[in-house]
Amino acid sequence: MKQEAYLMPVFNAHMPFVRSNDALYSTEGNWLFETIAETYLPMLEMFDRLEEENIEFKVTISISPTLLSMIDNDAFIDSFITHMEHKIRLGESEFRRSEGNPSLNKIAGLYLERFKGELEYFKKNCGGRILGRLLELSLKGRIELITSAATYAFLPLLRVTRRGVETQIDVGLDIFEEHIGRKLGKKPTGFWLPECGYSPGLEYYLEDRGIKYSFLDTHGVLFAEKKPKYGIYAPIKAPNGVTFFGRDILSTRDVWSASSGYLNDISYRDSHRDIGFELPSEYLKKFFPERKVSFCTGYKYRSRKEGVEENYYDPEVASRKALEHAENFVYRRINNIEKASEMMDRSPVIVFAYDAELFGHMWYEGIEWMENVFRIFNSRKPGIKFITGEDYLEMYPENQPVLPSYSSWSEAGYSEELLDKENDWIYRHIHKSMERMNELARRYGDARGIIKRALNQAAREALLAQSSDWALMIKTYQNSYIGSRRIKEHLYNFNRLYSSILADRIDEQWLVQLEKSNNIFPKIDYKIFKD
Amino acid sequence: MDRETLKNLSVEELFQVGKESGLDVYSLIDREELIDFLVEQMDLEDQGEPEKNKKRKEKYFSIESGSKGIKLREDFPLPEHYSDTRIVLLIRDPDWAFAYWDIDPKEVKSIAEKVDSPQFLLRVYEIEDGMGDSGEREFYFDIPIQITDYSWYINVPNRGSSYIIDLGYTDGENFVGIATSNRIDTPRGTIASEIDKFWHSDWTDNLIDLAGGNTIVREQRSAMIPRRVTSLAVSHYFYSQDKLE
Repeated sequence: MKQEAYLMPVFNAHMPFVRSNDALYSTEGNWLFETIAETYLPMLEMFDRLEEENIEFKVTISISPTLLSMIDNDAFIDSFITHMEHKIRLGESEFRRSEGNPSLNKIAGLYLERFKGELEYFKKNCGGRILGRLLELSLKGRIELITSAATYAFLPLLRVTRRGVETQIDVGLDIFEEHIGRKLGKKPTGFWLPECGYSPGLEYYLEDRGIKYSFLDTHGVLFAEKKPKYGIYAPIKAPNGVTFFGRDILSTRDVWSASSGYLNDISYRDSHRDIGFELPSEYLKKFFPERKVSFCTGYKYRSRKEGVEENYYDPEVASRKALEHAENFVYRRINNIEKASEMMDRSPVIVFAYDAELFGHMWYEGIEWMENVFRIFNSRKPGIKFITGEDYLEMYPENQPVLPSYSSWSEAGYSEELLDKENDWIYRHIHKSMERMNELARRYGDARGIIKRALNQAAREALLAQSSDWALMIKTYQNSYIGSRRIKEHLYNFNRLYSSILADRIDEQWLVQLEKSNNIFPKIDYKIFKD
Repeated sequence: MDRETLKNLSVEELFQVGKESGLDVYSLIDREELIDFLVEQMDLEDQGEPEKNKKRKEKYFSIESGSKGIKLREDFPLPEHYSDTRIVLLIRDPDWAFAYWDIDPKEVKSIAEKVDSPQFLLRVYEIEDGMGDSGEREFYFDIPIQITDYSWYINVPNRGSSYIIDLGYTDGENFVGIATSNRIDTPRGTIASEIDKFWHSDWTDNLIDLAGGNTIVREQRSAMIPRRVTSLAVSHYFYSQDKLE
């Protein structure tokens, strides 16, 4: 290779808001805990191992403000520990139950050890705070932490009122400052657009807030107003100066593609087959007394091999596959980057961006795969370095000035999934609530007492209704009931608060209940909605 | 007027009473809530118990969700529409836009008084590039709508173009606009042919190919049309084409 080349791994960590007083009981709470157990903790442990062994790596992680608020909250942490203790007790029972079946017994034992180890790691190494460990790695220069819009709203469809988009970004950055920025003593220069949702003009909001770079799906860059000189092997710069990196679609397909993506390999664990849906509920209730409906326990014994009776998951076989797939991934990236390098007068960069939850939670072997990828890159190619957006801009502050295309990384590339028959009705209400919140902020310059509390709660409800998670859940029919209930609930709460505030007739008991359950962003000030 | 009188009114009439008294009642969805609100705000004589009673609680608090014995409300009614006249246009993909609108019931009434059976329309204008929201409106096509319609998927004729919609009606001869949408710029949905003379190399096309550029164009071309219009798509489409030619 004639010059250095760069890799920029980016992970988008996000979970929608779960009520802290409800986390042990609700489905959403279970998602959060399972994701912590299967993705966030194992990922941290992996970073620790790489760090210990001096393996070169550098990753950018966007932690959404909702996730950030939850993992840095005592009530959630206590519930998470309880959840893990439940899991371990279930594991002990599973280990005994499977004594007669060696292959099953092996996996059950493995899970048991794993969950025990994770709880131990969480308590001891992290001191009960995932964020603490992330901050340490960030101070060591291994992780670049950035954030996203307050409740992960899909910004292109929110641009009906200017303040609506601004509030999503402002609240997001405030939350980042509160939990991360203050501790690191720096403001983020990067920003993750929810679902990579971009429409021309969004860069002005980012630029006003000191954001220097963001990420787009491949076609956001490739379909820019003029041909991008370097394809996606260099970023482009919107006319006002915000730089956009395009994600490498080939890296995505290698992992995700329905036909040939790694994660569909039959040796891998089938993450859908969970004993939570297969064993009698009377049995499961003994370990998870709070849960009333079927849920994922994390005990999944089957591989993705279909049509055979004995498809017990074999961790060793899966491990070999994860190595093989990592080899393949590295080979293909090097191949690509070498070709690009030959055609460029600067060092090419490949951005591979994924949802963090893909690794471990969706693709059980994904963390192991990723660890292999870092290790193999280290041993193979001395000319390849891992960098962040900020590193890149230091080396190449000048980039092609051109306006990116409207784009998102959701299916089909634009707003198709967020705006369809099933979920198009939400925008009338979301836009209205944004307008009304703005109206309230203008009308109540300096509210006090219960009115102020009601206004702050209205701000929370308005933001919660905007989460793109609900719209996507409704559309994809995965938990569409939860998605539609949540969105209606927040909109209803908002509308009711709005009229009670205007009528100066606030039901305090109800308000207290809302403040307790929908208690995201405790320090929010409704005045942020004022333009 | 008193509570008893209000109880005999329909929800629409209750809204009317509230509006005429200058109260913002449109976020109150529940009939009983509306009555309570009006009684209180208008300082009406209040005979009999407010209907904020067991019946209502049962309705809202009947289903037990997972919570620690807290019975969470599962039914969260939303207003179907809001009372202001407005139209909003959103981009779905390079070929489809989505419009939703509300018309103030007062306005509908006043139109009905002026015009015999008005035909409501969405007048979709294509705008010359770079002219801002009120730019040169090049040409348009109409989509007839019913007063009961509140949203529509529009198959826009051109990618990489700009559109704005007037919501209005005709009295048979003239079009009368009652609300104008925001402007949208539809994505081009493909690789630009225009080259930046300062940022170009002989290898640019190869680099775009290497990045999978052409496969994306192909995949997106075959992307689905919005589900709501699949049955209507054909008529929409031809309608707009007819008008344009």
